[in-house]
Amino acid sequence: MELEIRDVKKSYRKKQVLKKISLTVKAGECTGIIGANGCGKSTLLKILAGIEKADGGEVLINKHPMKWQSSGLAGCIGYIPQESVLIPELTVEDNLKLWASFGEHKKNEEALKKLGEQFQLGNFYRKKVKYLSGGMNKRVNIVCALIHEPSLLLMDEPSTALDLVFKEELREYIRNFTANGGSVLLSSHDEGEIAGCAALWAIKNGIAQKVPQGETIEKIVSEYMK
Amino acid sequence: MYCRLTLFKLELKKFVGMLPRIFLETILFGLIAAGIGLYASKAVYADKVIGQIKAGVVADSKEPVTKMLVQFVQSMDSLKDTVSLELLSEEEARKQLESGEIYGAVMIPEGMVDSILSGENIPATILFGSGYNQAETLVFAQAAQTGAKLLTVAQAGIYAADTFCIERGMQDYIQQTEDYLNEAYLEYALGRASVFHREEVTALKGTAPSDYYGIALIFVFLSFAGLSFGRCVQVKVCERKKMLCLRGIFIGEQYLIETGAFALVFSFLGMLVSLPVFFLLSYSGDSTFQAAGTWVFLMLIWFVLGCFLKMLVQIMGNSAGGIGVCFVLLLVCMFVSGTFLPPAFLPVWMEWAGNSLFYRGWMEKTGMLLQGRLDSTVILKLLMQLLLFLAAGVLAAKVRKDTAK
Repeated sequence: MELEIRDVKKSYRKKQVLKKISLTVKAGECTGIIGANGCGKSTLLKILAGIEKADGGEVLINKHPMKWQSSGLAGCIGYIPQESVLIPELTVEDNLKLWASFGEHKKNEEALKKLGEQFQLGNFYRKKVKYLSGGMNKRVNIVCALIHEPSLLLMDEPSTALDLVFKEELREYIRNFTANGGSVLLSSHDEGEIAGCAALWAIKNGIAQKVPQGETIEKIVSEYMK
Repeated sequence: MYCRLTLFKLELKKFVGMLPRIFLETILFGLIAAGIGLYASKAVYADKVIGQIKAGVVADSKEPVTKMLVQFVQSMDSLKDTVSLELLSEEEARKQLESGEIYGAVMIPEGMVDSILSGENIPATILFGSGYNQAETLVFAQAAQTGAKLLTVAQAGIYAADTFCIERGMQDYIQQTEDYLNEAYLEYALGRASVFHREEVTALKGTAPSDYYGIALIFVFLSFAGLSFGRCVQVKVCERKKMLCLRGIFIGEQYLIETGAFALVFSFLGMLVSLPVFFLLSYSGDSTFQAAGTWVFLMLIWFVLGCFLKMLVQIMGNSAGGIGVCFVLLLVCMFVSGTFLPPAFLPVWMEWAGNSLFYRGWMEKTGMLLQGRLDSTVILKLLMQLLLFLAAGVLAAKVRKDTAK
């Protein structure tokens, strides 16, 4: 799935967060977005996921304009927000059941079994979400986004709170996902994750700039993060 | 549809899982409210609750006017439950005062009534016993003043008649007019006064005091339980809610699903808590409750109350501040509606304001259902309220979504 963003704008009250964002995510590639805290990375991902409405601009998916808050689109996009989407008073199993109940729920339940094994949820399957550690919570959130077998993954700092083993597990998953033709757009501050991206975009002053390949971390930090 | 049903089942599970903690929290809320109530009642009634005040009247038993006055004062609605007057001889009165059988005694000297009517005003003596508190003194003083006022009114009437006769040059008829007026007032007017005391004053329409307090207790308990639940309700528009919208369950639907699950669990809690209380009350002596099939409809009242509380939390928010505001609002709402104190004891404006709040109506409907009475308008009114609360809640949820960053 190819994603093209053209001149997307977004303001909150008087503050213009995204002035003119244009970037492309190619099919079968992992694209990264970097930028200082509060530069608008999460806002852009929310717009692409369909939970925030852009003030202007256009988003094209496979050359077709994206319709805002279309439930059909939700089925082919997997979004992992920074904030947990789980109901804390319920168990992991119950939460996963909820997200598996959308669309073809029988097929989703099959997918859930595989993902549960891959992300090793078995140990805390019946544990209430409010008693999970940050890392465990993140793993369950990732699984929730993957249940529908999306073709485009939008990940907002996905490796936050994950331990080294699961960070590597996630990278492996992303590699396989893109190898099978899926596209990933992730925002991150993690060096390893940034290094794994085929293309990198930096958001500064509300505008996206492409980071040339092979740029060192020091240069990225000095040029795009300050 | 499958996803909505799944969400509803999970919301139900969430609220059922909260029940034990909610129960404990409600007891805590109840203790706070009881503490406030106890402090308020102590401030008003001092240390003792007033029972019936027994007092003696020492008068010439042969004087019919005195006897009639005593009977009249005793028959007054405002006094008959708290003051019991008995005609005694002076010796009996002093003996009973010493033994504490009577609180006080009014010593009416011979010819006192005649002296009042003639304007001479021989004073009466009041003897007090010991061991009573200030509230009882106030009630007793009120009773004595009532008697005195009656005589003063009679006296004023007679003076007016005297003046009337003098102005018209009918001085010779003064004595005769006074005699007629005395006869008319004391023999006929006092006797017919009961005609003006027909309106029955009750705590709640047609219910006994014990029934009223039982209903009030349940409403207070359940309202606080609802607030404890409210703390665990997701009011803000979070990422989950937005993503559920994206999946086709819109914010209004989410509110309705959550409220439906909440109100269902809440109404079961209501039945669980209220039925044993009402059942026990129905065995008390003066209870008007009758075990009947109509008791099942109580669930609808608890359901409506649940939706009302959920709406309140949705509007005010479930942060500590929001719950605090809800707590104060509920206290005021319940007080004005006569949940803590029967409406008859409230100022008229408050009684009027209480009529337009929902609690008074719910308590009256609860009383009706517990007495085995069912009216289709009651069900209709409850359903209308339900729709109103749901619509207001959905609106509040949408406003929150639109104003969220």
